[in-house]
Amino acid sequence: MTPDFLQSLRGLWHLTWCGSLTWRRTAVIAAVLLANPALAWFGIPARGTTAFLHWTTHLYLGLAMPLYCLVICGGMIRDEVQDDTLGFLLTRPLTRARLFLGKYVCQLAWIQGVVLANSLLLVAVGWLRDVPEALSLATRLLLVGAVGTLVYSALGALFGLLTRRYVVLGLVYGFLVEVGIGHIPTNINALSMMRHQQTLLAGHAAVRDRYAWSADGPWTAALILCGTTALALALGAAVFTLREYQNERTQ
Amino acid sequence: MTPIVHATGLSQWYGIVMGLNNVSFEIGPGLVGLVGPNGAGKSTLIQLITGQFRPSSGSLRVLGENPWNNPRLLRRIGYCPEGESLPPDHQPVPWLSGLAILSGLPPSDARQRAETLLDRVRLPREHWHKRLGQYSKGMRQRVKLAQALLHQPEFLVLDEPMNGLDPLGRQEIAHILKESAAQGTHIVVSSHILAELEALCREFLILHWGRVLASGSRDELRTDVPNWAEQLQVRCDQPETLARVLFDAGVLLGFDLDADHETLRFRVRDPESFYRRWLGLLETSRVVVYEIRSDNRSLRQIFEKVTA
Repeated sequence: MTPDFLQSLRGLWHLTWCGSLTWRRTAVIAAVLLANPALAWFGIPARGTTAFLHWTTHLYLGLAMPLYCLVICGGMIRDEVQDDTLGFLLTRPLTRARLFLGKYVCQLAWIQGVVLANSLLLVAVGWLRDVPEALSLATRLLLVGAVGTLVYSALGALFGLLTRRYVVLGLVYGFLVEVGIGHIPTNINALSMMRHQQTLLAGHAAVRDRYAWSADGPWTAALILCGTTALALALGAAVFTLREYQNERTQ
Repeated sequence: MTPIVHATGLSQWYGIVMGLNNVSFEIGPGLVGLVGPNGAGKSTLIQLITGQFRPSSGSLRVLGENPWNNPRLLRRIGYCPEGESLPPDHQPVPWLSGLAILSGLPPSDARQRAETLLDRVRLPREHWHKRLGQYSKGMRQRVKLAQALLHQPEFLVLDEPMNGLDPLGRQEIAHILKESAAQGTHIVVSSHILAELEALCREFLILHWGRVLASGSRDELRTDVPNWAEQLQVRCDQPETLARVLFDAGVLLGFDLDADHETLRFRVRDPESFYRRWLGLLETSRVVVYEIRSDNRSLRQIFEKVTA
């Protein structure tokens, strides 16, 4: 019997996580989880609203989270190619598109967990540092983290399919589109995902006042983030279906 | 008989490097050996058959279907790759269970199936808790074979499955393959250990520089070789007398007498006709024969002739 999508997902979940939670990998994940709040603890002074907002909206949601998504999702297929283990998956009875999407979902579930835990730890740091806005920003931070994770993971997965230097490609994309185009004061800045994240964050008065970000059209921003995710995944599925990665390895 | 694999004008290119060059062939049911030196195109052909490559040109049908991106067909195929790579952080049972679920087995049966197969490929249970990265080459081969058998495929494609195994291990794997073939599984197996392939398979496909040079049973391959001369070695009490009788009968291409060891080595041009007359010639010569051996009927010698 050919497995349906849920069964494929279950198999991929099994392969992705059940067998690979080694001490080394767990230590890396713990370090990733704890590094940001630990640094934030030293970087945010007592009642330091500005520092807290800068840490959460710029350093965390604008840099650390996208980079984490890029590294994890970029390697989801590429690592299999590099390790010469992709053949075990490609010869299973599921389409390549389903394999790609299934792997994305499995990685995403994990990343969402890490981002959720990280966001909560950051809020806890803010609360312990007596930042008045820490608790009121928590829900928005979690929500934007969840939506941002969707889109940056999808872009990372696509970059990983395009080149084995996906981190470099991701950084180039970040500088050109997110930083460069995102700061052009015309409608073209709608190409920047960061800008839509900022629109969602600007729903909070403290963020809006501090950075003068526009809070207009939060639903449009959310729709664009989700639409870009869908587009990146569709492109990724098409690339993975058409491209011969075994061929690439043989060469 | 319906062929399991049918290729017409099949070519595969890696940029400017040629993997397979316009080959047409059929692979029949049963146990078939893919023979060829490194770079002959064996792995390329295997990866085409298992749908990992899309042919650069030509057509390929496996069990009557196009293998590229075809899950329905992949459900019927088991594949064991050549490389030694396995996910280093996984333990064998969870890894095989995951692949079993991915292959369509009910999740409740996956673990049981994984354990049954690890027992079948004789991976000792004391190694099951180790991670695959800690495994020896031979142990990896066993795990790779187990993953190919997970979903009880009707067609098994194995790329050098005996690499890295000790003689006993090879014997065990050969036994498993013969057992699977006896149960009706069609198997294509590539190897550069020709003696083992010869003991395992009845049909062969000889590849060289991306071309199919010959295919068929060992006898069919032999008869396809132009100017094939059968080489025999007979140990007897009067080798000179036997040589004279054979010479008079006009069947000899050449001979070599080794009187000290009572041995006659000779070559005959037309083996079929020679073997028809052989008993009569022996009777005429009245020599006492201790041993008769054919020196050049092995797959290795046929392969050397075909690729020469």
